[in-house]
Amino acid sequence: MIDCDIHVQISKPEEIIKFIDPAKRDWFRNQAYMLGLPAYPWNHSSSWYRKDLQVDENEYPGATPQAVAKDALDDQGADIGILTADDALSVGLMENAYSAATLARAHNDWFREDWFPVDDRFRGSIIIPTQDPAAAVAEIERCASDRRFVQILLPSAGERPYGDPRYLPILEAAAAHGLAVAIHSGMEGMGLAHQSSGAGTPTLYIEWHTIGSACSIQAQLVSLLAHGTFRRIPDLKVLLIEGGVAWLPGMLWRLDTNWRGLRDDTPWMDEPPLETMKRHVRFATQPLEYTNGNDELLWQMLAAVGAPEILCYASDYPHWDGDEPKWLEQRIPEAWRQAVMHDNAVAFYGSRLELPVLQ
Amino acid sequence: MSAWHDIAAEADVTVGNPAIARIGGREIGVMRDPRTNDLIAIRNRCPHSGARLCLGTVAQRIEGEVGGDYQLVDRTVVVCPWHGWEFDASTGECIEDPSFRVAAYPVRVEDGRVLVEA
Repeated sequence: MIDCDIHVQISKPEEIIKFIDPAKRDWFRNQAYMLGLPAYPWNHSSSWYRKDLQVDENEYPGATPQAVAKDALDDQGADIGILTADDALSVGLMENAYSAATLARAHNDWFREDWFPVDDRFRGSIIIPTQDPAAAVAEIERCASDRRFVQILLPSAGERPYGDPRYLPILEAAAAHGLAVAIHSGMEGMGLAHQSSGAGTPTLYIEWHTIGSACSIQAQLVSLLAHGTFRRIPDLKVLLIEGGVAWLPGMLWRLDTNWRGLRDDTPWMDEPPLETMKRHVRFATQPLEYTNGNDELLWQMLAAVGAPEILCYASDYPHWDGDEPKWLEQRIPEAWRQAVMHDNAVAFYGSRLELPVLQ
Repeated sequence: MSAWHDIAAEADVTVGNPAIARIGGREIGVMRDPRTNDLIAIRNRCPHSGARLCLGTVAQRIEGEVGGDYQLVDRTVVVCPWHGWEFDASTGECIEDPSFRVAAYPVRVEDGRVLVEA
């Protein structure tokens, strides 16, 4: 099994600060525990985390490589776990682009120095100062030679959707190094990011968790397809994480309908966008929507847009809404299991995954 | 068995003013291409959802290689007035979805009259 979304927590800011140039350390210390990352407008009413993992109030679950190796790899039976940032997903949305570049660099060094050496099943995500594309490209170039990094990680919320030409150098750099581009839902309304739905600022966490987790992911998918980004960067691979999947057929059918009638606005879209998506985009399974007894209908709809090949398992460890692998395996069609739990991620990440030899 | 049918006076078929005739139970329209001044004969019914296709426009096809690239190419399309689907003016094929096709007919001018073979 390969888990594409394991969130590493920063429990002790000094673990990150030690990788920052001494001249800049006090700036980050003075931002308190969030290290200058933008604050959350909505919070879970009790905890972001699985309650059974909560260690104590001074240490979050998923905050040490030993804990993650046990909880997310050993206990779940993972052959590979791809580490993603948690709060630091929003580094590219900080108002201060210089601090963002510094923090991204430190976070990537933290993965490289303190996490990867602990367990050879760990792979990682490069976070970047997206608000400064030149600095973001430089950070990708700096990290890419370490092949334990398998992807760059971007938040689904942003200043403009990632099909916008300003982001091309970032996407081109990732593809040139064989790195996937993972876009993780969240961070709407935070820092430089716009709100999620366009309907106005949500009041409640459940509104954000329902809409924020899906709408901005949908916007990113449509943007990349509409701008012809995959035609421009034929090696680009995108993983959309935690935005759900049940909406996917409807969105793609809607886009396909619009493409036929609006093609003079986007004449570079030379095939139905659904076909482009199937070659370049994968979707992390978590959180797989409940269907009130209509699972068979969900499988049929997903099959119509390329499942099971487009689906890769993700746990979202250690969050409260994660999908446990055994539960997911039992739920999806038996014929899909090997592909969704393992093979699709191997094909998607390619040689950067380099599965460890089992002892 | 097809035959040539007299549709209209050529001078009456101008850009934006198609000639429409009923032949064998089908409405067929003749449109003027503003770029080449050629005549186009096509069935007056969009195979998508039934719009009167000849009330749409005749246009030069735009294509592009990458985002932001707009190039006029040497291809004429009939654009449906309802949803904007584009049909090749010569073959009637919907370029974005060839499973949709509108009948296109040979057309010529003789003694100032527009003739369509249908």
